[in-house]
Amino acid sequence: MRRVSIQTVLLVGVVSLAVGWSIARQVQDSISEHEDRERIVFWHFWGGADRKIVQEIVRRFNQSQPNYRVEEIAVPGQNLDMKFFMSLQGGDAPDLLNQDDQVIAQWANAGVLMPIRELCPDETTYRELEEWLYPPAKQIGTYDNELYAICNALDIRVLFYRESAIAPFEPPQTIQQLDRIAKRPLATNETIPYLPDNRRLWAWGIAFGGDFYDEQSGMVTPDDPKIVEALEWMTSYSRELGLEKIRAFRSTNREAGAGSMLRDGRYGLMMDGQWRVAELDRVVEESEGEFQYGVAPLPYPPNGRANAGWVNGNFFVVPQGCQKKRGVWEFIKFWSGFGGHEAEAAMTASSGGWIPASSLVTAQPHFQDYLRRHPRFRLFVELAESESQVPTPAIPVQAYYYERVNQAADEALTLQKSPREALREAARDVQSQLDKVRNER
Amino acid sequence: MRQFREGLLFVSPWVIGFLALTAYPFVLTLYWSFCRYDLLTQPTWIGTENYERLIQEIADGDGFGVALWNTCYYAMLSIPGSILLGVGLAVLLNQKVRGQAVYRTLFFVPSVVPTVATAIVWVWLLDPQQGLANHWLSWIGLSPNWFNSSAEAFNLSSLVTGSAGFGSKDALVLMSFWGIGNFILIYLAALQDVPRELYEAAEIDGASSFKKFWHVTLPHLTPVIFFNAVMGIVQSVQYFTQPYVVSGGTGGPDRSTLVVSLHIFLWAFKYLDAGYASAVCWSLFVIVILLTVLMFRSSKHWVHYRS
Repeated sequence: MRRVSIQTVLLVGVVSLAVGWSIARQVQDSISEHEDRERIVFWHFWGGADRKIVQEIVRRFNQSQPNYRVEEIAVPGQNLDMKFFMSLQGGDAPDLLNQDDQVIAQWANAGVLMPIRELCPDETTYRELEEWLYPPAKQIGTYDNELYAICNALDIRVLFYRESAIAPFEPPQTIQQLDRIAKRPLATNETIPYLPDNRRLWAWGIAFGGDFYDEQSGMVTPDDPKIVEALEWMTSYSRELGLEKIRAFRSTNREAGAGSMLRDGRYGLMMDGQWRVAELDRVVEESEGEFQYGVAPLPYPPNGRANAGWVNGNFFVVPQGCQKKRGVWEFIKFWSGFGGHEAEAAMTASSGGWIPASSLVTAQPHFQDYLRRHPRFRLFVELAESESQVPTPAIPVQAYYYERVNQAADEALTLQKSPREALREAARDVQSQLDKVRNER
Repeated sequence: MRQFREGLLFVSPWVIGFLALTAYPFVLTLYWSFCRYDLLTQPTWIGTENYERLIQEIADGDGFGVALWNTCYYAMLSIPGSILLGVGLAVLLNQKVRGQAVYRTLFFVPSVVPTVATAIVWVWLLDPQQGLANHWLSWIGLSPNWFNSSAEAFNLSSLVTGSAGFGSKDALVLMSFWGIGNFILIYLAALQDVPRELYEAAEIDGASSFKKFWHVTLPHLTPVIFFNAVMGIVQSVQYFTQPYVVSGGTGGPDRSTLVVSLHIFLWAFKYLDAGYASAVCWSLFVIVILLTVLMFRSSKHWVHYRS
């Protein structure tokens, strides 16, 4: 067999690379010739059916735009954060991101986010934007008194209840009323009227009148006496029901979600978000009225807060150094509804069953029509006006704070530690992380 | 000399890839482990603070201490378990019976099923109320809470206090046996290598089946068992996908599935403390090296090489 020389191998390699590069260039040029609009690279976390809605929003925007063309790239789950970091290191960050993780404070503190002020054409517009947003939407996007993200939809939790399960009582307004319904003896073991989940301490803590952060001292306060009281109340359910029963009960239908458990009667009441409304409305329709459910704001104890809860949302952030500010700004307005785009945003919000970020979007006929079709959704938009709907404090260790408190609540709910002890330890750990980050700045 | 140059040229893609994508990050993480590094800004030198924190966490049984215990618990059960089960099944599958190839294929099939899919199926199988496993276990009066419990069936202190029970880590160990097809394959290959004449000699000497297995088969399998044990240690340290899937990335319930890899992932990419995560990586690297050295030292006493 004839020997192939090393020079031949190298030559073939070099020629192949050159040909490949040339073809890629030509393809790129031909795309550019047909598309003289500025290309906006937009990364988002939406997947499944929601991605189709996002694609539709992008299509509508691109159709309406003579100057900009948005290219959406779905990067679901936690990959979005990692890929974003890599893109920053590699100098090839997207122009815009849509996220729902608790990252704003952390990223803003690291200096990788562009303040929204820089995106706005002038100071007046920035002030108008702050006014335009629902109070929780503004809070979600704010770090260190500066807006770093524009919220496009809110996630709010309320108490869902199956009407037959709470009868003969009215929907609970106080903790005492809730306990009366949830702790009454039942004939069957298959049902638990209400079961507090560890992640819900964030909501109950606020409803009980607690604060997770003290702005004055700059200290995290998960061990605020009111929050401890909330966790003590939550723990009372673990004591009454017994851990084994709770674990066995929780395990079933994990994948199907809590919505189905309310539907099939295993829960009487549950705390959940607005995404359950459309799902449960379909069940009401299919059951021909046999299944009826209602929604109510979180009950609260004396000295607690009305219309309170924990809120998060979906938001846009712009990487620092973005060169396509104007196009990005136009797309954010188109989706969120700010600056005269409220009607388009109302269409967007109703197509996804999302809570708009502004009352002006909610007021649009298209969204009002959605509320008529889903009357229980109205409570969520009413709560969006509430100052007591509070997100996780915007501190640079926000994600850790959230998880650490969840862990503490879990330790208390599984009766390993007392609520006070668990929350004190959480306060110590989070504060230590926070101090470390602060000392570096 | 020319041959040497050409040889270097041909291996250069791998060498460059190794240096750039493995060796460089490897060394870099050592530097980061002495820094506070959030992946977004420049690392800041903080000396041995991350390592001090690790030692403190081990002492307190918190953070890294929990993750290390979870990984050890998993490794201590899954490695010997997979060796016992793997050798046992390989010996059975080595019997000359009708349909031998079909049986071998059946045992190997689970190894090619994607890990995430397998994990989700196991979550359903081990569902305390609707799962098939508990349906069968209920016949003997057992109903473990599996992935919903942090109980440990093989924890001595739990056995003493009476709080022992099957929990999420035991479920993970059970799941790991599902994928021992690869190990079985290696044992089967080793079994083909056992000289027939040794069995014949043993038979002439009147050895029973068990004695043949114990004195002939097992010693010949020890190099492969040793290899699988070392690989098992490395794989246990890298164990990530299954705990991530079954706990939804949280390491719950009650941090019982928080294995070291998941702990590293959370601290590096969720809480953005890559300095601390790097320190965990390096501590783990040292632990694995020590364990491997110990294994190699001990191998002189129990591994029998034919040569």
